[in-house]
Amino acid sequence: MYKNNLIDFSRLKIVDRNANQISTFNEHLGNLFRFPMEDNDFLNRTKESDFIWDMANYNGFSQFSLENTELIEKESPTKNIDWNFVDEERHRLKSQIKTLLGAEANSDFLKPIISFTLDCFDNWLSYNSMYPNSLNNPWLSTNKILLDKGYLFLATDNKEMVKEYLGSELVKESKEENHNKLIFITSSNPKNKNKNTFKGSIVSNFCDIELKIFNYLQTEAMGIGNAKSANNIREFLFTKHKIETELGSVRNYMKYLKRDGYIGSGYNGYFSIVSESDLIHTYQHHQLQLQGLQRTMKIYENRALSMKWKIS
Amino acid sequence: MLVSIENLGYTNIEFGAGCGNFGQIFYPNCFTTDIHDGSKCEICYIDFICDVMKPLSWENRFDIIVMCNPYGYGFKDNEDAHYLLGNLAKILKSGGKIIIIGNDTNQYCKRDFIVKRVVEFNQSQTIQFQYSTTDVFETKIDYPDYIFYTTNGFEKTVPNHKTKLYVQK
Repeated sequence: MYKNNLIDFSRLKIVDRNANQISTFNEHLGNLFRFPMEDNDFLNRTKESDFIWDMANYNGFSQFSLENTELIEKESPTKNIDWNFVDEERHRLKSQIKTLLGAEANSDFLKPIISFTLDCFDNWLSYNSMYPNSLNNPWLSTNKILLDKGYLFLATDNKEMVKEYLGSELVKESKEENHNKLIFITSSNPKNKNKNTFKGSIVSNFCDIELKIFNYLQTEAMGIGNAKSANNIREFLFTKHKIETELGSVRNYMKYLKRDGYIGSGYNGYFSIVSESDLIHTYQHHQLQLQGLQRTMKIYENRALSMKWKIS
Repeated sequence: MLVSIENLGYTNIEFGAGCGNFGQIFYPNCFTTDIHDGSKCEICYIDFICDVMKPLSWENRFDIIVMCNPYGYGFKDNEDAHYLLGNLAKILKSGGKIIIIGNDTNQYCKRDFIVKRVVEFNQSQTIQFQYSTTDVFETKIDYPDYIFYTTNGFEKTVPNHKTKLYVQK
């Protein structure tokens, strides 16, 4: 990421518009969502309501996460931050984008997408200055879109702006019910030159579903004795919320809830951790899985050794 | 309720008020404005919609401008900040002041950036700003029991500074 102590912008290619980065942006939203998930006020407020991504929530959570980094990091941020460096890097990126875009950069049309991209970069850099190289930095994903892939991007709930960028109203790609108002816009590669160069997608509703599952387990699966299977959870989503989902998707939601330590799991299902024995159970369950993984890795290492292949 | 500015003689104004009434409580005779109409707020205090990043028609009109935890506009970007300061200087009376309450983790109102932008502004303009800044303890004494929220109106934010900019024309 850094080159001669400066951030490496060499992959920026802005004008090469050929990718849709919605899944990477969804990953960013998921990481941002971890911060309010640690806040009891937020959990109480959303117990009985749908969670909807709109610009107000997006900005509110961005602000909240930068102010409450310790909720996730569990330690104080570095004190001596060179804010001049942060400021100068922002301006260097802004200049780089303007150079790449040429005269187009000063158009009112591109101003929102340039601003949003710069804001995400600023937030990444602020967080990274407080916690160098932290994998909890919610803007790591947006930095991938910008610095690794080289695309400008914008999230907005302004319907007029969406229409202006896409040339028409957004056409939903999936039949899945999704109440989110936030639309992610990035560049696309039109085969037909007359077609618009931007593509838009509604952001995923996985945060809302995760929250619903979390609240369900908090009340119905307190402790290992009340664990719920993936099938139970799938039934709950359909019966209570009319959300149709595959078992594979349920397991995916659970993966994120487990990864962040919000719930425990064992061979009989998923549960909220309410006692020492619940914690021991889920810890030992994961320890066994880890031992299995380590055993498999050892087999690969031995095979590499016998073949004289280099794998790490 | 949206009102006409002509009907009231208020000499203070709050920008980016969101769902709050901070300016009305602590700086009486204060218009409460935001870029949004407040229709999503449980209680709406917005007097009228105003985008401080667009040209403003008033001149030498206000004594105090309040900006409470600005987000999405402010002092992060040098060009935007220069425009904002020019706009605010125009609508303030000479000797008037801008009061910014915020948290340093918010780059739009981070003290280092406010000070840097003011210095840059002063170097290129005849209108000059002077600044002073105080930390969270005084903010707590000045605004007891007021709960500040982030831009969605739900998540709490705790200001850690109050920065004042005085304009001399």
